[in-house]
Amino acid sequence: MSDLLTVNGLSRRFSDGGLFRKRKVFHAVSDVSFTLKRGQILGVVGESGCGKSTLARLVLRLINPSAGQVQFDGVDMASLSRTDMRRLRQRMQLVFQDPYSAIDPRYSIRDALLEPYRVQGVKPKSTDDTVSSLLDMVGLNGSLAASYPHQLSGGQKQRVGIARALALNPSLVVLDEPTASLDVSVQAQIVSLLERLRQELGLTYLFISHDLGLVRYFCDQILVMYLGRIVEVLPSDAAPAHPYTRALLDSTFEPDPKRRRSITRLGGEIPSGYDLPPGCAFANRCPRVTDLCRRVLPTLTTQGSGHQAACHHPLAAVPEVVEQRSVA
Amino acid sequence: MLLDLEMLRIRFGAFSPVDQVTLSVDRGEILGIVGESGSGKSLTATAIMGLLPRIGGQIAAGNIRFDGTDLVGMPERQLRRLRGGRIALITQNPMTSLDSMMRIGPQIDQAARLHLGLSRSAARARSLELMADLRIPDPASVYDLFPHQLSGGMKQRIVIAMALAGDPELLIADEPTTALDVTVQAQIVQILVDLVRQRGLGLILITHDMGVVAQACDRVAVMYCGRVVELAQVDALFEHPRHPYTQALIRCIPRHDMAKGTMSAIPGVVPSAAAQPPGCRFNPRCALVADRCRVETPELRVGTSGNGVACHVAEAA
Ligand SMILES: Nc1ncnc2c1ncn2[C@@H]1O[C@H](COP(=O)(O)OP(=O)(O)OP(=O)(O)O)[C@@H](O)[C@H]1O
Ligand SMILES: Nc1ncnc2c1ncn2[C@@H]1O[C@H](COP(=O)(O)OP(=O)(O)O)[C@@H](O)[C@H]1O
Ligand code: SF4
Ligand code: SF4
Ligand SMILES: [Mg+2]
Ligand SMILES: [Mg+2]
Repeated sequence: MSDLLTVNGLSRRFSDGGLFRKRKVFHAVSDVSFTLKRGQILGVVGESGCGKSTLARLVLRLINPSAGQVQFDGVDMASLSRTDMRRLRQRMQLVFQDPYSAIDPRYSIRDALLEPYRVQGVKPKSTDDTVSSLLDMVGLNGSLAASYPHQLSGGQKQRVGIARALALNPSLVVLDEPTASLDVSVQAQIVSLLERLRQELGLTYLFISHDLGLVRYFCDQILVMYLGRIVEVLPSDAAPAHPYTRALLDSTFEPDPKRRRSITRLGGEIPSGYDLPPGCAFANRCPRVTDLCRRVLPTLTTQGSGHQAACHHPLAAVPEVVEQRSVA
Repeated sequence: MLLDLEMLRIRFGAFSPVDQVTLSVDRGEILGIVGESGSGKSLTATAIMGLLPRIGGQIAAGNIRFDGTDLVGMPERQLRRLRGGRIALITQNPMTSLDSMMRIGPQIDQAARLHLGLSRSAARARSLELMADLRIPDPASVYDLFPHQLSGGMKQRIVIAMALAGDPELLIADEPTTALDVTVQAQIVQILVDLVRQRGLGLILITHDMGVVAQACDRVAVMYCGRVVELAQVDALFEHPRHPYTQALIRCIPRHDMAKGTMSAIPGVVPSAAAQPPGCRFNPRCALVADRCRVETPELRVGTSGNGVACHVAEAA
């Protein structure tokens, strides 16, 4: 499989303040590198504010990086002219976190589905056929074309969001928490739809979520982010080596009362992205912390095949042990 | 039983979004209520709190017995004495319970002063103790802060402290962790479980997260379209779910040991309140539907075990 997306040293800082106040710099994404192979599903997990949506916008170049490169299909995106960039945009699409804000409430579903063609200046052969085949592709009834967003359920709106992202035959689809605001039964429908579309259309997904259980089921490979940095890259069935990933996993409640476990309570608060500590950003909450961690920033090192962790004292690769103890 | 709901029906004008709700919770027990959004979980909680009139609803049928006394028809004056005292509610959004203009500490003190008649200094001492119990770091400093100075997880802990301040026997937590990150969610659920085990309160934990149910609850009520469709012990519910909706719901949950591509979805959508199908409300989506299901509404029959299912087919099995 060839690489569709190669991200190298990608960083984004936001600064605020100005003339009279001291300028403060917020590190939203720091030194992120990864590759995404054609046809793969790469998951990105992490808690609120860790930089997942910012990373998505950087990858699609909806915002510019402060440093680093993104190569799409071998082409450095920074090198492209405005026209070439626009042409490339057709091949990479975003599905938003919130299906309620993704579609303009004044557009009919038909207009919403035709919008990507207008924006790109492409004319579909037959607009009626295009709309009905897009609706059909995401399992919606053709009669919905005349409806407006407020007449649709959350799940239907998210299907429209997916149909719109697929309108121009993209290669890469970035899905930013596409099911976060939906019920599990609707989530299951959307996830099955995404699985089918990937097979049929040969899509590559960058799938952002805060739900490690979902990502472990849906994705091939997972990036775990903490405060803007990748702390671990792991195959979705591997046991975590990074203490933060371990804590995330231990906090994920399994839908099985026979596998109850005691919750390892993470102490401390997440530091602010304004003043990051010099060493490991997880040091103030980590049960394995040593003096070294507070002084020296750990870098990603190999833990196994397709598995890297940024930790001075990674956990041994033992099979996952389930405690039979209950939370009670 | 600490709380016993029997065939509760809630009405707004001509429309009954909640019907046939039977469930119970004992002291030292955690009852989970699960169901998709709009299934009537919050309205059930609102009814128990006696707050339906405030949102324009009323109880049309059934009983809510709390410690043997029916709350249905109880005068507001008496209900007010229970609310925040012997019965407390924790809501999804901590800011609906917190006053943004008021410091944290005095907000916790209020319930203890009102319901336990404590003096200002005794209430303060009790609040600090509760905050420490909930592992709020440095309670004395947090006591003097305003809500906006706290993280979401910390605010939710303050709301729990407020609920505990009146020394409740029954605690209702309506999606207390939905807005929180997973590591914080895990802490809050653990805190609630510890409270039940240590203080022997009865807890109704409302959630749409089957993971939380599996890890924390003793018994579970599954709701669909305003009705309780299954009532079961947590182990039985996951091992041998009886209602077709419960079975389908459990298959929707992603699990890492599930082979890729095997997650199965429930076909169709939840019907709108105005377009409920006749007979069993799940019949348009049910794989086991029989002719009878389209005309006859299955009733939830609760056996002596406290378990029950509202389904013609499951009941016959
Ligand atoms: N334009 C901006 N100016 C300043 N700070 C920003 C800006 N955009 C994002 N940030 C900050 O960068 C951090 C990462 O934001 P981002 O939206 O990428 O998080 P996220 O991981 O997607 O979170 P969530 O799970 O809540 O969606 C946040 O702390 C956010 O406040
Ligand atoms: N104040 C109200 N007036 C009329 N109908 C309501 C009101 N509140 C909720 N409902 C309806 O009752 C049903 C159940 O709502 P709710 O209890 O909030 O569901 P849940 O908490 O399970 O998501 C929904 O169909 C909702 O539209
Ligand atoms: S580097 Fe140290 S503090 Fe950071 S995660 Fe590893 S052990 Fe913990
Ligand atoms: S009563 Fe009939 S339609 Fe309803 S859940 Fe049971 S089998 Fe399905
Ligand atoms: Mg985001
Ligand atoms: Mg609710």
